[in-house]
Amino acid sequence: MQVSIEDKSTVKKVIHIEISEKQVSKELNDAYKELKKTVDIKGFRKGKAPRKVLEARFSKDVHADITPRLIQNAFVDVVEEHKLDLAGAPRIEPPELVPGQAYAFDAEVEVRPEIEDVDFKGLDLKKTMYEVSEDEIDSQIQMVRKSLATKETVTEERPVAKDDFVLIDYQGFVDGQPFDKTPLVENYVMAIGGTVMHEEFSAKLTGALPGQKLEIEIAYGEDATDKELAGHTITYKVELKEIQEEVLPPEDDTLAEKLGEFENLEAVKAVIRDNLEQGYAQRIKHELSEQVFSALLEKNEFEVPDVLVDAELEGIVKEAKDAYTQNNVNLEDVGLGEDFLRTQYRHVAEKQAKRHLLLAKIIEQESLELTEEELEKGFEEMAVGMKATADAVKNFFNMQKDQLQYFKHNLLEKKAADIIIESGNITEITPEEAQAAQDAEAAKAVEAAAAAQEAVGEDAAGEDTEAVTETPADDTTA
Amino acid sequence: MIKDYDIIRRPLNTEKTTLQKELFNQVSFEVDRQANRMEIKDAVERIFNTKVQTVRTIQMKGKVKRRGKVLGKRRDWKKAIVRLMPGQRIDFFEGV
Repeated sequence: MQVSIEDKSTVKKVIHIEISEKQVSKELNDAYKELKKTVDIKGFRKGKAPRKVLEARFSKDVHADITPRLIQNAFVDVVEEHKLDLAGAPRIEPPELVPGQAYAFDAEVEVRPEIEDVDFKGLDLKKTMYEVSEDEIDSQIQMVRKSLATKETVTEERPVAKDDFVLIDYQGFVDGQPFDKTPLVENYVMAIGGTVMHEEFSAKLTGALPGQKLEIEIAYGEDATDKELAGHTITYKVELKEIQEEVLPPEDDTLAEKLGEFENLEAVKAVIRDNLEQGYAQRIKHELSEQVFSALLEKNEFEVPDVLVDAELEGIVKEAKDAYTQNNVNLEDVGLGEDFLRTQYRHVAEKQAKRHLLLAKIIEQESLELTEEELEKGFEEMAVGMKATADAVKNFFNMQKDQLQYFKHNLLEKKAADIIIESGNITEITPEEAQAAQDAEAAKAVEAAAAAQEAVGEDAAGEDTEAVTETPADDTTA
Repeated sequence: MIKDYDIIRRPLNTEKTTLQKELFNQVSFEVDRQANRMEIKDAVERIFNTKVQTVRTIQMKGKVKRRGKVLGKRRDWKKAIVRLMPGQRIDFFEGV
């Protein structure tokens, strides 16, 4: 077997392999021998058909059978011999096999880039010290109150005011005749200033007294959202029956009772504070790891194999798809075709791929390993996330060993990220400072974008600068 | 030419014919029952562009097949064993 490897780039290689004629014929002989035993040909007893007859009839099948085997064996040998760290599957276009000739083919492979030892110690990191303020807790409490609000009829005689609710009957008429698309609706509770009904309703009803009868004329334009009403001028006869007020439950221990499972208001607040704190803790960690990776990626430049980027991209697209299908929205319908997503998120995918490669390198460099306890903890965390027991999670992974491998690697990546952060040079800053820094950065980005747009300017009309700014939910390493 | 293909119905390719080919340079065909040796010789020479030494023919009796009570008989046919001149050969596997 003759092998030569050609470097296209640091991550792309083309392997030329030539399998000797001897090896090819040996494979062929074996295959025909095997075939002869089993095949049934008219005029011949089983196992008695001559090679020539077999060749005439089955050469295509035999070759199709043998080629991948030859390629596979040769390729695996080459990979082992040259210690290639493959990323993804090779691209091979197998030529026809000609008996009596050596078999030569090219394999295009991508390898993981060789990353030099990463110096991750002493990175300058800024840690934003977010703190949960009383205000935030209070606003959460207000939201809870709002969600538990009840509507009560207003007994005093007063006109309808903003934020009231009204109980009305209404029916729409066109040219004095009942209109069948707007039948009589009774006892409808409507929010003044709400968006469900036409805004004219809110405007006209404000200031009305209970028991009052009104006529509200609305001319729907041709472009009205409700196609059945579009283009009609409808006169609604409305009777205001009652005014209702939203009453928020008082902010005391009874509120806790209403929520169930809480003893008093303090307990509710404690839980809210806990949640907020957790959220901030995650945010701090996320921000730190973002900083770590942008710093590391700047320091260590390397190429990423396309296959890895594609794999990341696949994940991103799938995630987006799932998120949208959950809301019963088809991606194409909102103008986000798969191709569009692919081009938009390519740089994100590339960054993620780089991040994985870097982490893998660091894991290797520091020879990190998972202890039993850490694995156990990982299972538990996962169990909490999936609302299952740790044992169930463990069982799942015991059944699926390759998933376990993946999971372990994931935990290792987390560990590596933690180590980097720990060994970094952390400066603590207040949220205000962080905000200021962010603003400065954003201003810079805007400037850069403007400059870029100017540069593209005349011919392209800057169509592409309108990039999607949101990033997809980050992967697990963050 | 149409007549030639009417005479030579199909080549026979069996264990026995393989042996005959290897040992005696003979090839076998199913041929028209009315055809005589001379006609067969000419037809083979023209179709396969070869030289024929001798032709031997046999009237083959169709097998008697039974299906329950019913007796049936396959058609009779004529087999021709054609001996080619030394050095001549025919490859006719593709038509099988």
